[in-house]
Amino acid sequence: MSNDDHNWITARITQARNQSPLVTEAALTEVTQLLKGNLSKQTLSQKELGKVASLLIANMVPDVADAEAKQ
Amino acid sequence: MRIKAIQLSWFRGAADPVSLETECKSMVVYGANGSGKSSFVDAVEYVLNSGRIGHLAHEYSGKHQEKGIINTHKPKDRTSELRLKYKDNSELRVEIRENGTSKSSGAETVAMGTWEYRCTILRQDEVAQFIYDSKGEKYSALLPLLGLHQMEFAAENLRQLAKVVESVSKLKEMKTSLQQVENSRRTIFGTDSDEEIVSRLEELRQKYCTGQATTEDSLCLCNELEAAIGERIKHMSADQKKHFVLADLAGLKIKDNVVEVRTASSNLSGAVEPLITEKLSVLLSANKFVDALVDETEVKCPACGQLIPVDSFRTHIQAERESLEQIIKAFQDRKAAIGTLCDTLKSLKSNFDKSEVRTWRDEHSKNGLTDSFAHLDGLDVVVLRESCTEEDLKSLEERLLPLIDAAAATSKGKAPDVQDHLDAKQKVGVAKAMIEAKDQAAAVKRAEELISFITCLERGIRDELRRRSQAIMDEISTDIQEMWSILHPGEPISDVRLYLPDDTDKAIDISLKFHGAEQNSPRLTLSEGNRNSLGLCIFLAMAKRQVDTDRPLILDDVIVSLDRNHRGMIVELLQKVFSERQVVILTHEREWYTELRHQLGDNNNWFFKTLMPYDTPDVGIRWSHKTTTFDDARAQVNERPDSAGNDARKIMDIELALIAEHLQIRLPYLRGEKNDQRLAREFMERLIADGKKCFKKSAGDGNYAAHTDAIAAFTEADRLLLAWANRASHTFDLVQPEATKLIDACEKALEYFKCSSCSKAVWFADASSSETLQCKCGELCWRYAKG
Repeated sequence: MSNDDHNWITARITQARNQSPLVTEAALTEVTQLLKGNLSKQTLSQKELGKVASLLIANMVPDVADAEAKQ
Repeated sequence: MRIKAIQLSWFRGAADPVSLETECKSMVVYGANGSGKSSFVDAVEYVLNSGRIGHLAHEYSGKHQEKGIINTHKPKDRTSELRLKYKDNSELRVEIRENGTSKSSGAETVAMGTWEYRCTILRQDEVAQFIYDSKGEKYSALLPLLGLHQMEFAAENLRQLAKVVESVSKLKEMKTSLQQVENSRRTIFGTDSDEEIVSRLEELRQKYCTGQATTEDSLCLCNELEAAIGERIKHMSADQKKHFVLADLAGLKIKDNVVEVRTASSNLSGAVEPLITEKLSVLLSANKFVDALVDETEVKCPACGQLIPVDSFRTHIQAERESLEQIIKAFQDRKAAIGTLCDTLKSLKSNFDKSEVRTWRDEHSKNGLTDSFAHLDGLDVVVLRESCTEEDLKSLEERLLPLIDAAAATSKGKAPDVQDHLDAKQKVGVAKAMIEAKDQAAAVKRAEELISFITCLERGIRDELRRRSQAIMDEISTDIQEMWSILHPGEPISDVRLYLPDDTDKAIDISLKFHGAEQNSPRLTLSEGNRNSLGLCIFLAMAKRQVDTDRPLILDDVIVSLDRNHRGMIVELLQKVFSERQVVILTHEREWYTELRHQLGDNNNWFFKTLMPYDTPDVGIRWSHKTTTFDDARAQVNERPDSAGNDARKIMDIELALIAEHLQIRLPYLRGEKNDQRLAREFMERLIADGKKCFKKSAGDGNYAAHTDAIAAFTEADRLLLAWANRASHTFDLVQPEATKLIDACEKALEYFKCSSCSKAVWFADASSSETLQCKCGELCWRYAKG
């Protein structure tokens, strides 16, 4: 993906986050990194998606996740 | 980066090293069917697609296609190898091992892995197949060429991720559980607010707990109350305890559970059950198999053994699973309903085993419920969980419901204290579940928010994908239309364009106007030839978009189904649109090859080569030293001289028709198709007659003299065509020396049209004097108006 694509993804993530304000900073960071990486490189297996999903669910718990993100 | 040479050793049809030398120019290669021309294309594909050749992806070619890639007669001491030499003189060497794996070295500057196969190699069957592909397949084929496949990966992964988040977070289960808590709250507390419920708990605390409140926390209060109520129950009389257990039993919802199992079962037809079980187990194994794939780029399909890319396999498995999702859900619902029923039955069994109700049970065993208790004792809940039939359900209803009814009847007359304790226990239980559900409700909200966020992102990427695809496709459609107009001038098919159907994502289709009528698919009205021509225009338009114009474009037998008029226009298209590109055309069509040679032969950017007909695998692919196709005929001289003679005549039919056109030879008009189907002798007779006056050769003193040597050669060829070629065609009794002489004579006659000094044909240029053609140096000339 080009830099333009990466910028577009960042903008799109911000836009989507505005509609889902409960999404934590930690989950947001995770999704951003994933979209600029593995998620855009190949079709992920169910196992890989399962790992990503567990991570995101864990990151959705506000206090802990955001404290970790700030660190 | 232009390709300078493709050298093959024991690769596909090649034996000892054979090289296609392009000199970095465009070229046309002629070879009869099976002569080995596609082996060179396969070599390029092998490098582009990391050691994989599409048409060899089948169950017979071996794990690494070694059975198709390595020459079947390769001696053990030889190596199968291919080398690609590039314009910058770098060289890529690929050595193929016996098992089909390969080792590459050199040419690191030319990253051929970044070349798109479909923008580099166009094969007739693949171009034709594209038009027949579904709109989803067209989308998959074109997206990488549009440069949008990474966005598609992102969108598809997000779509799947939303589903996986739903399942990993157990969202459905949590929501069902929350709904159950809500239902219980309504049953026990009606429309009471949270504050009112806390007041109820406070009232109970005052009744059951001694002393002052020890906690403000509602959950701790519930735990305190549970303990206190339990303590009271513990000290109840035996009769009270009996009533208590019976009231619990009366509350068991076996009847409802049975109805739920029946409803779930009705969603699954007994007939499809075994099939679904089989499908699910296959999918389950396939999933495990896919999950285990880490480094592999290809996988052998468990069904057909064909090597396919891992991504394609994953997509396939995913599509299969999605199609079964509804059935899987019905299966799961049924399993859950059976599970709930079994849990209730376990409670029933354990409650009836309690000492508090032993006397009551003994009494009722004697009073008509003997069979019911016997059924309950013999009930194997573990077995029932695995297999629950309609007969099982009927037995449960017949035998066990009377037990519940009897327990309910007895518990109705329970002592007031028991009722109070029961009510208190229920209230505390529901209140506790409500408090605990708050965490679950928050988890549900978080999961839903995450899913909504992911879905919103996916939608955004899909919209962008659609917008970008459409923009690129609009550009490409302009090119397709332009190319189509070149190939099909004045034909009533217009507005050919690629479009994204409104009703679905991940789809591309082709629309056009046929005699002004809008058509959503070329398959509705176009002939086979036109469909192939359209496929060719689409891929050429894709190839045109490539930023690096120095990459070669290889066309492998792409004109097979085009008629003479349309294939003639391909050269115009290539010259107009791809003049900057290195184009390599491979064809088995002798007539088209000859036409191309006549059209482009004088263009320095193009050159021509012919392959000898294939002999044996240990001899391999061989080049002819001629640019004409007479070696096709020579190859048959020993085995089938009549066929060789006939071939020579056919070659002359084509060559002389084109020469007559160049030299503007006038022939009497014939009706209909006969005008386009004249034979060599008709042309030759006119060429001899006109040539005596028109064909001149420089005398060296500034003057021209009649080219008598040429006329003599034409006459000799004409004589042999009449005597032997006709015999070869009609009576098949030509002998080997006659065939050889006929071929040599024909070839010699044609060579006279080419200047021995400048190598250009006599029609190369217009001479300064009017109505005269000449070769480049002026050694030969033809005064065409004199004929």
